[in-house]
Amino acid sequence: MTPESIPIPAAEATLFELSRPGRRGVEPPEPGSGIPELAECLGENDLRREAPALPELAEASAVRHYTRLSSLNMSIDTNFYPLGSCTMKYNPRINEVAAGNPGFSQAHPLYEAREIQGYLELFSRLEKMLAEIGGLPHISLQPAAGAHGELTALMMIKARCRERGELERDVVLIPDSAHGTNPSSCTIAGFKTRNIDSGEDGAIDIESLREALGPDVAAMMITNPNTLGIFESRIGEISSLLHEAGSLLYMDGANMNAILGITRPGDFGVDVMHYNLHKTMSTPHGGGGPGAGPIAVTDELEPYLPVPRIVHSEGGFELCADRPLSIGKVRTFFGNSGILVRAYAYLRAHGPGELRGVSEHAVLNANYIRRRLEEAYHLPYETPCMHEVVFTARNQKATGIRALDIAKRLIDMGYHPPTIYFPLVVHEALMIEPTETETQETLDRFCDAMLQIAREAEENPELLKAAPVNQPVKRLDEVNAIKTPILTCPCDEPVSD
Amino acid sequence: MLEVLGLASIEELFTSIPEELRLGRELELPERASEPEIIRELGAMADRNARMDNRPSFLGAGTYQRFIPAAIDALSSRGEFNTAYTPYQAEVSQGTLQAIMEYQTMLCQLTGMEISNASMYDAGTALAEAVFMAYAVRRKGNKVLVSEAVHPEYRRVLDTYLADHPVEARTIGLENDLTAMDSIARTLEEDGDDVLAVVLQNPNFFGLIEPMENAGKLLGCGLEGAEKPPDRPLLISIVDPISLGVLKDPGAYGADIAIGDGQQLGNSPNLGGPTFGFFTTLQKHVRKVPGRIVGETVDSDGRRGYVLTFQTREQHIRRERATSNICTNQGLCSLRGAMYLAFLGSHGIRKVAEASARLAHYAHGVLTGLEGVEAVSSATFFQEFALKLPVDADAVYRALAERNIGGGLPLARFFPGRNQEMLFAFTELVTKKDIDHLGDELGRVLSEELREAKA
Repeated sequence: MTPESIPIPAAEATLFELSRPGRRGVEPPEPGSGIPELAECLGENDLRREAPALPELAEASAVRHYTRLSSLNMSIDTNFYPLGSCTMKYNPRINEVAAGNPGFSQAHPLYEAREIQGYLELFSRLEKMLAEIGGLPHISLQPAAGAHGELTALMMIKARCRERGELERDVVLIPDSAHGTNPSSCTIAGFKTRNIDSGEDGAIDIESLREALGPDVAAMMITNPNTLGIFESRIGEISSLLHEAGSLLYMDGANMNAILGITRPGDFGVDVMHYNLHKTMSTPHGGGGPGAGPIAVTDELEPYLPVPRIVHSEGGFELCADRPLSIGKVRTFFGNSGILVRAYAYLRAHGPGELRGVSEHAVLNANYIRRRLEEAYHLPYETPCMHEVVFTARNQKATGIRALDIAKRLIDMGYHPPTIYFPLVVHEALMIEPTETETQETLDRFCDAMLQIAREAEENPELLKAAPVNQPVKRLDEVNAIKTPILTCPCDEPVSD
Repeated sequence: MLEVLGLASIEELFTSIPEELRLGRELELPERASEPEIIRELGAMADRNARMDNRPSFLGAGTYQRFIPAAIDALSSRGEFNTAYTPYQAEVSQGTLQAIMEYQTMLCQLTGMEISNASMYDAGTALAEAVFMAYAVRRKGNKVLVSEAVHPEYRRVLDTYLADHPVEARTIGLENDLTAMDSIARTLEEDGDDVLAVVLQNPNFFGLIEPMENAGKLLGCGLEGAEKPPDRPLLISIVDPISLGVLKDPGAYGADIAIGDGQQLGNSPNLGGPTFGFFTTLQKHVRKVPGRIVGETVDSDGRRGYVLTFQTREQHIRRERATSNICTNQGLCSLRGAMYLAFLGSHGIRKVAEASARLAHYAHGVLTGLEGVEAVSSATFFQEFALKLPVDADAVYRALAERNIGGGLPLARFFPGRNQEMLFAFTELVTKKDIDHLGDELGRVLSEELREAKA
């Protein structure tokens, strides 16, 4: 079947177009008789004049609506999804079953510690596992996402500066290849940022680092392997330079999938890092979340961790909030507990050997793609890659093709595009992360598609420019979306379902 | 594959990691478990947690057990929703994007506000982001007045976020467990320029209905066609989304930002997470809003489609000048929220709110009829109220648990000194019979505790 012959799914009407006045969906339980009427409970002035204008659909219509909407998505369950930096690995169903146990889902966050001993034991075991994997002894599971973990860590670094009377340390060093969340988190935590250039090999330029270091530097944020998929081989030297200058080293753990059981951030001088459980530990991305971004720290930073801390005593697990140096709470209650259960289940399904195998296969798969595509696509760096490989669209430039066009043509071929235009230091970047859960056949088919696109770029570039052609919509006008903002559904003419 | 790469072993893939930095041993982790072993192990841990669904439960305080239509689990667990990434590639994400667009619309219908973002982590972080946004909008003043009746967990998160921020939070005390509006008025008179926003919660932490219209008038929110002074402080309203089935919406009392926790909209308690925070405001503030927003546009053939929009606010483009650092949000939980609203519709949400309020008022009659029990406040409540008990509330909570009843929240957990007070919550999932049973058992517990205290 050619991309052009794949049937195009129909667009779906909105809930508001499907709505009919007076139609009922699911009926909530009735309160029964013998209880006061609403008028006896609340004053006239407390009440809203009209019920909220929510859509009114029969249950079956709403089920079909959402089922049809779901079919308009690409997902890991339906397509190869080599989105660089996002670690779109298969999300095992066992994790969902484990977290769906009502003993987890029906626990109230304000239960006393003695009523949630099972949860606290799971948290405590998960903390131990994450500490071992990262080589950093203390964990907080509270942050809800990677960026939230970054912010938590930076708040702790700020608190440490305050405690030591070093508030003049108000700069954080950030490599030019960093995720956008890094500098953004710095601003919120009250730091300024200073850029560090990448060298010719794609790694941090040590000279640029030396020049940027000074008495005003609180910390440096690195990603290792970095966002180019390259391991920072001089990380030992980098951490020594920082520590000698009295600064701390933060690691963005987005790329942990490359180094599980192979090397540990704590062993190469990192003081604090975050994990993305929705990347490395296979919890689903959910179309944007929820994730979880636990942080791991050294003994020195431990007193600043968010409260409550889980402590184990003879009587069982307890919650301790009496921690004078703690930054406080960064999220209500315990964090995204249900995601933590899923990550724990994943780690139980992987012993030490299997976990190392995850990284070995992730790196092998990326290098395989690199080898198969390196003739057709330009590699900006010669340095060998780890779990992801960054190409550019330079070879295709002659016919006016951009990374965006290649990405959109991949959609026609049935693949989710790689990450494009990131990292920012690479012009026309195409960042491919296959993960360990793909078979060689999938990788081969994907590479064949990429090679076909490279040929099309030369012979028939219009095919790429017009892509995608087999989705419910073609390329969307993002400028128009801002010029004439429509941020809620207009309630147009009703349509039939 | 190694052959294609010309490698003899997997080890050779890792030569860029210096030898001395390699672990050189196995990680000290438990050996792998099979699926049935995992189910057994996690099941045993789950069994050691108390639950809301296997006994009458009256604990709320911001997290509630509610009826969740069965279709929501079936639909939200579809891999097409659950295993998709953030919808950056719009053409292959129209399902998620349209669902968010509909979510934004329904949240606006519920709150009476003009725009909504795609979700925040929770109500606590939504509050912190709302205060940051107010600071960016007003660009004047550095004090935010926060009612003591705002959920203490939200307040703790706000305080953490403000530790390194020029804005300072000042607490407004209580009268009859309602926010002391006089105190807000006085502060505005004395220090008006310095106040950039006022934060109120409705119903407040104690379940009471705050005089939000008075607050709106006090802050010049333009009620009943009144002029809006250009420099006025912003009104940030934290709302219970279910209550908006019957209670006046933030749009009606002139709120500038309305936020809250969406757990009650189709999400289980989950020990407090994952749930989602919602964030709604006025169209004119769109460029200051944190997080993702979906908008409608057209494709190259003029067909309707949806995209993430106003992305220049966001960290992946604006980096250190972004409105917020949020990237991953709580997408699947807000999708469940949208489904909940779609399945219940106008009629259903109203029914849920009504049932909760009516059952709570019935319970108020039953429980205040017990000897030695009295209401803490005389103000109108929605679905939750605090009672003063003749004995220590912690002891009562434990005694009720022994009788297989999930008691209310002992208030001393958040408000030291209020040792004998308990906050009871009622939703459509409790029955009149449950409430009568609670009344009987609480009566017995109290007389036993009193007898013990005397002995």
